[in-house]
Amino acid sequence: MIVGIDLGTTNSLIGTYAESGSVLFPNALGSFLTPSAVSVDDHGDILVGQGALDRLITHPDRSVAGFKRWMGSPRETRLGGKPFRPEELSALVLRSLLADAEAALDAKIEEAVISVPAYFSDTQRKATRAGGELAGIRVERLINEPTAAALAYGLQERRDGGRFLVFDLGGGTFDVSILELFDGVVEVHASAGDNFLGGEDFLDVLVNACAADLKLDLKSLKPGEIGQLRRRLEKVKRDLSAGSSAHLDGELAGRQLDWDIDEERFAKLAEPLVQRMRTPLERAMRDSRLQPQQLDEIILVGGASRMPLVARTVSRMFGRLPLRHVNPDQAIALGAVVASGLKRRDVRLEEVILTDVCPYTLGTEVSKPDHNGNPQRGFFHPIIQRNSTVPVSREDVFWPVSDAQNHLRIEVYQGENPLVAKNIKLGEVAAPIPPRGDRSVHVRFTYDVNGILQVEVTVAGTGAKHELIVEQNPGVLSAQEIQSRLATLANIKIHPREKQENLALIARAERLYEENLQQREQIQNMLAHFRAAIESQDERVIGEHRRDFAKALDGMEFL
Amino acid sequence: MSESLAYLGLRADADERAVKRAYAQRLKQIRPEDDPAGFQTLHEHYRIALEQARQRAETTTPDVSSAEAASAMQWSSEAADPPKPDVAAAAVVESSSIATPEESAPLPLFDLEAFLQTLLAKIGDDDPEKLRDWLQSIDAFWSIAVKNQAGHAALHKLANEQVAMRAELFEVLLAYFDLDNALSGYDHVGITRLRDALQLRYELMDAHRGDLTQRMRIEGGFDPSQTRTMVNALLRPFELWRDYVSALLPGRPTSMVRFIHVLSRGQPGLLCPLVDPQHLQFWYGAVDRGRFMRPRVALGYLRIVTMVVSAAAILCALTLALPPTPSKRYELTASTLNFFGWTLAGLIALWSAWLVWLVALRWQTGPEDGRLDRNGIGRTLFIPTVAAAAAVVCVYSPYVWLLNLGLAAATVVAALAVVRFWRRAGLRFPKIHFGGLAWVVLVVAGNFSRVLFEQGSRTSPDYTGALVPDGEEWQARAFIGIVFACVAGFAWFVDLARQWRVFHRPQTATGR
Repeated sequence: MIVGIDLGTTNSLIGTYAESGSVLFPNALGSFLTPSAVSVDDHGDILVGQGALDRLITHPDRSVAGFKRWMGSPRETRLGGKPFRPEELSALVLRSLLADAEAALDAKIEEAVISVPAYFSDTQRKATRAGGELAGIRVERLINEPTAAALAYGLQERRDGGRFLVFDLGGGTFDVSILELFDGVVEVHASAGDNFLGGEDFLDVLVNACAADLKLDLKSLKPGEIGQLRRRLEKVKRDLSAGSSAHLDGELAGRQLDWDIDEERFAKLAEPLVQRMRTPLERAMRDSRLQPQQLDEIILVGGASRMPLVARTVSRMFGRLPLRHVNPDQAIALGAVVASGLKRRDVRLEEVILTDVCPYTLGTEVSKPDHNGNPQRGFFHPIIQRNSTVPVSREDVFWPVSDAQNHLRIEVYQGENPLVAKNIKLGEVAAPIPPRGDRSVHVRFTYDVNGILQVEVTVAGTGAKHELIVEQNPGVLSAQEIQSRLATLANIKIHPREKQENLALIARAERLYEENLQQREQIQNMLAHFRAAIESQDERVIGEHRRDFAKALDGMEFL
Repeated sequence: MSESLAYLGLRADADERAVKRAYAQRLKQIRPEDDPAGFQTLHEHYRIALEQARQRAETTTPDVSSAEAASAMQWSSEAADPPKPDVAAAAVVESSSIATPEESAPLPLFDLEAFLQTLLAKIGDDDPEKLRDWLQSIDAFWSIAVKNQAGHAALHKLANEQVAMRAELFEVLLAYFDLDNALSGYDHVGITRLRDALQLRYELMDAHRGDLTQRMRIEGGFDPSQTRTMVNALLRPFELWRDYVSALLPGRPTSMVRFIHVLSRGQPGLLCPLVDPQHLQFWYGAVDRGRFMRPRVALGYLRIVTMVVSAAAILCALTLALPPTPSKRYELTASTLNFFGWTLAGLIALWSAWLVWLVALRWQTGPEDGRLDRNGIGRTLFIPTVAAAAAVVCVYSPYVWLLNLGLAAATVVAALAVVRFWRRAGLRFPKIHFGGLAWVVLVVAGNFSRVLFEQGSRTSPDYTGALVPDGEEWQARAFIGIVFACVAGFAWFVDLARQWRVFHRPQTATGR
């Protein structure tokens, strides 16, 4: 069984390609969106999803969210004393998603297609794969998020074809892709993006502005209090998407909060972020060699693209209004599901072929002659140019700079800057060269469909071949490390799916207790009753209590 | 009919639609996941065919799809060459007229010249934030085409005008126009150089001397007063005598060149419009040990003369202060002058000999390519020839002067051969201070000549009146000469063998 998964910064979704087309699976709480949050309870057991998100406020030291941004880095998060890598946290979310899918399908899932931001680097993609392996599935393919969205949209709405620009502003990442659909071919022309731009950054802007206005010292607030503030401002952000102004009130750290913001001020605060969206858009347009008027449609996906200022930016640049009728939260997941169907060679999709691009430029360090003919080192020489259609294999020839040189060091870099110092080094190969005769070295870069780079260096004089040895990158887990971590993860208990609902409810009640000063006593009473009901282990009683409790909590919820 | 169209199985007049359809058909058989190499070939042919189809559409019926044509045109013009500086200003008007035939949306009107003028005014503000805000606030730049053109024009303007600009501001400009990018089509060596040139002009402006002093102190360890004097010396118009006089101080040329190097971040050429290039030629010539530049040779002589003359002048002046016996004083002055005259001649001879030695060494230690061709043969055979000649002279010389000459030649050629081997084998001399080495040489030479003199005095005058060493001494000298000649020959042979091995059996030479 193969599924498609959208592993997002804030929310994750899972689905499969069935008889009737793409189907998404709801989680234990009945929602398609499972927040990408992980929490460890007092017994060391894992809770994933809405419950974990609520526990972020009550137990900030035992909960975490937004870890997709750390993918591909060796950063470890301590939850209840145990360190977790971002891959492991992703694996936990994936396991929860898989449990939902398995419950709905009643079948074991072995493979998955996972969507990643188009601008994810080699390391980040490898980390995502490792996350899948840690969750016990084989990641058959990684699909770029905007491509997925276009796939879902294009195949559903526009079977006749056309050119689209997909603008994907998610919780933590920003991607732009330009695609063309014709005769059953989905061809990506160009992708660009920013891995550190998303809804969270817009929220940060609000948090900083609010803290400055109300003279809150963010450093002196406890993590849980900051969590509360962010949660409330998230509501403000959503209100701003709907209306022209929003209001924040409530209590925080013993202070009464009272803050107003209107659309205009928010637009001004977010101006630097909006400016950061321009470069990727311009780059994608330039690389695809299209004029704005040649685009048939501009599609906004990703939760953060609901903000009106995003639509405004797009229309300012392209002189037209973007399309909004796709569901921005689900588009990517639906596309990942379609991709999983493609991977399985589903008969209904047999006609569709997808070609994608490599979003980064890959190349080596070279010395270039300056105006005097003296070699200057440190320059980046692109071999595979960004937005080349993959799979792609290109070769270039290099010569030693000096006669005395007896080997050539090929340093492999990824990035766009003309100076290698500002790009990311992927590894290096040293090739000995003969002192006489043909001293050239042929370097071949091969980039496959899954975004894996191979470098082969051939010394022309001797015919010796060398392969790239990828530098020990701390952001990538080796096969042994994955095995050992798999073993440790197996020891961690995850709450069974049936219990999820109760636990999420308790987490929610605890969060409301924390946020709500007036009705604390009431919540505490209800919580005690509910716990007693759970103790009774009578499914019927628990169900009844759960319904009442949830209803009561709904009344207290301010958002 | 092109190869690509044939590959796709299309007729020569196939339009874009047909190319795409043919590609889609082929793609069903050649899937990117299953046949990467085949797919790459297919895709490349597809790209070419598509481009050709677009160009055909544009040339035959320009009004069919003007938007497509415009994109193809823009692409081809971009691919051909980045806009030239002098036409950049006109490019906006021109290309907007190209890109907007009849019905497609016209480019927003934009006054490029005014923008460039304001830009030149703005870069004086030197606040990167302000520049960025200003650029971001220009509404016309929301249009991608206008922004592209303005970026190129701005870069060319900066390259052509002699303006000063802080590197941070330049970075902001590059980042905003996305020219700071490996695929921007520019020569990045040139861009780096332009940035450094702009920054250097900025630093040399009077108002920013403080920052320059700071940088020179951190990067080069020059104290503020040094920085001040040196910058002033460089910015003055070139006068030969002034530079010579200031260069007489020992160490001055070296520190000056180091200063220029640090100041220009290793690219002294950047200083040129501001600093007279003759200054740079002089100072670099004064320190260049690799070549024999006039300033260095002349400075050597000039220093010797200055040193000796000033010492003599001081001593003469001191003799004036001695007790009054005029003849005695006269005698003293005369002997002082005599002594310094000889010293002067000796030192000049030493300096000349040193230069000759350097020339010879330079000639001998240059790299060879392992072939004995006509050009290299004289150089290769110089050492053995001289060594052999010296040995022969030492053995058969009838005259003492000839013997001495042979001995000297053998000594020099032995030293030359050893140094030649040493250098070409890439060995390093143990770290000896050069001045120290010179002293050692002087002391040894002095003692050697004293010994020769003493031994010479032990010998009897021959019929010409010259001092002739006795038989034993004669033999000793000849023996030394032969030993030195052998050393020269041996070192030369070892060097040649090494060269031979390096060039004719490469695998043993590199070893790895």
